[in-house]
Amino acid sequence: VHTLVTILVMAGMTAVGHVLLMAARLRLDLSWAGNLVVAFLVGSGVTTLLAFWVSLLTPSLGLKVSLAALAASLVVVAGMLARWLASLLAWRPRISVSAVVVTPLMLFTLLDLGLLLAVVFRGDPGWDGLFIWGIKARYFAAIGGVPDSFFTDLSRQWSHLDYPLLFPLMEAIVYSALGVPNEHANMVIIVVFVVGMVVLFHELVREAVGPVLAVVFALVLVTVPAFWTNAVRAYADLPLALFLLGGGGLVCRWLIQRRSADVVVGGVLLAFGVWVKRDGLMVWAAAAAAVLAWTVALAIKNRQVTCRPLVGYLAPAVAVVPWWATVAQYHLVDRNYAPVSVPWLVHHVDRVPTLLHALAGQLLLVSSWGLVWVLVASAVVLRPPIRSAARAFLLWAIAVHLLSLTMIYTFSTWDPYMDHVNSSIDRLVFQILPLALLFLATAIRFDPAAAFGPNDFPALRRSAGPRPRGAGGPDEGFAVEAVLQAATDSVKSG
Amino acid sequence: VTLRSTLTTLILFHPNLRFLTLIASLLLVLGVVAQVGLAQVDYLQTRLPVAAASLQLTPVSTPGIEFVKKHVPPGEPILYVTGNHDVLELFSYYQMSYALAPRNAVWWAVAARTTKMVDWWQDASGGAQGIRRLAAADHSRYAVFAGTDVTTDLHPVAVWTMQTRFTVVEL
Repeated sequence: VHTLVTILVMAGMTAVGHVLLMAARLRLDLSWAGNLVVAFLVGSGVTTLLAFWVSLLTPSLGLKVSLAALAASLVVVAGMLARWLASLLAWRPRISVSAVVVTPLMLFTLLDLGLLLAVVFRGDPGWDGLFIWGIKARYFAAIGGVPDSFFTDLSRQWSHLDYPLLFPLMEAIVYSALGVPNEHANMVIIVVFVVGMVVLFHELVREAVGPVLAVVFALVLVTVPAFWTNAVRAYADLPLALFLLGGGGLVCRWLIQRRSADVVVGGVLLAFGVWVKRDGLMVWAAAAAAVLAWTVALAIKNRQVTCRPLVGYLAPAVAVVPWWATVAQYHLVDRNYAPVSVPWLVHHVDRVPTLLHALAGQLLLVSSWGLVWVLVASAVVLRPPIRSAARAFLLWAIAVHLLSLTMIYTFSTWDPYMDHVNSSIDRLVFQILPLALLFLATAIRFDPAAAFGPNDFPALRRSAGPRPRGAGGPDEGFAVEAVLQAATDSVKSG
Repeated sequence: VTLRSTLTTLILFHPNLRFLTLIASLLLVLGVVAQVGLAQVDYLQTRLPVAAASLQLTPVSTPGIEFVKKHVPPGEPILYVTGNHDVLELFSYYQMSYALAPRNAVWWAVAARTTKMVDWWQDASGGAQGIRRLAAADHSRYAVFAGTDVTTDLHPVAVWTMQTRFTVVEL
């Protein structure tokens, strides 16, 4: 019963996201599964923010209002689902012989994923899962929302009162639906995030490099040892990795296709990433810089200034401001880090080489990452993202995330500070892993599916959505140069 | 510089050298296949049995926690006193605070000086006087002595003992 209720609440969050995206006319043209994951991410962010906003007015009503929104959206979506199922009955799939190549790989991936989910489903939330995130969920579920007393209860300062609340509020909404705190429900939520991660990752790679490599890379993702480590505990790092993948992936799509829905929803997901964990701020800022640079470049090229993409990207971040203001109001500080100041930085600058060495050591740790980071580094050398803005953006976001978060340890108050580094650097690296694998996938300009001819995967290609404007075929990857050329041509032609 | 940039342009972008792109892609594909192969061996032979063997939910309620709930009313801050401040004591304190959230605030007290920003206990040195000083500061009428004896000369109002080394006292 607990599992079913938890899954129902997750479905409700997805329904909220779907209804909102429909109402805002933000259609992404992903496959139905990809749209479902994006709707889940948007819905989880919106419902938890709603719970927090209502809590600012009436703490005991926050979770109830969220649950009411979930229920209402479920009713709306159930009607839409019934229509969709009716239309599905009329659909006659046509699978060609060459689909035989994809099917075994897909089954293999599903087998690995199934094994992983079986472990996650019966797993343990872990130390941080209980004492950083779960304790907040218990607190909110008992009160019915986020009370002022939560921010002033310094007896629990060690549980990081200043941390963002998306994940614990999700858990609290589930507890509220169940009527009792239940740690097993936390693992069910993680299962939903794991499935969402694999589905959305497959979707983005398939769009970029074709169906066969998409399945291969999904297999790579689920077999990275660190993916296991992070999937079998109820920490916020895996949810954050999914938000970064969704947001970063959609900003990539925008760089290629320049559809405003992509940059807006990408902005929403990356802003919600900050609402999951503050570590998400780096990729949000990196993407903001990329959107700004691209907007300026296009303005110069087209001799016409338009701020709409930038505003569309930045506006969703306003949703997180009330939480940030609340934390500032209570003067909550993270005792793990010293306040950012130049004198501290100057005094501890000698840590930088050690930190870079620690980062390199972590990336080369085969027991955690296999060959993934070696392959990513090889991809940078063998296929540098010189003529692809989308691939350059991915590399930029990965580098900003890895380097800036590693450098933050310069301000660590731990003594010795390497204990702090060793206890958390693997999670920081994991947060960006899916985007790094997406970058690696786009470096391979060789799609085995192309060998079977363009009509060999009708069932798989059916949901692939429109190809990027100017992109030649499935082996083009993020062929932004073609888009640039088309844009230049259109300017030249007046 | 000109020579280098010309060579770079030739190797990376010249239409007749596109095969280099193919070779680079094939090298990466080989790497990916190696990654998947290695991971499969690791996945099926090592990680799955280990993960399956360690499947048990961390106990979020223990007899000790239930004992405290029985004797300390809701809303009363608790001073949680341990003899040491190692990981074992830290875990037991977190566990107590987790199980009693938001029912009771739980403060950790150890007779030891704090030296780091992330030492989460309060220094209860000074015997009974130290305990009473902290209890007054935290507005605690109750103290829980876990894994350590009740401080001598504390003269509590009431004492409840579970087994030998877990005691709730009303100050």
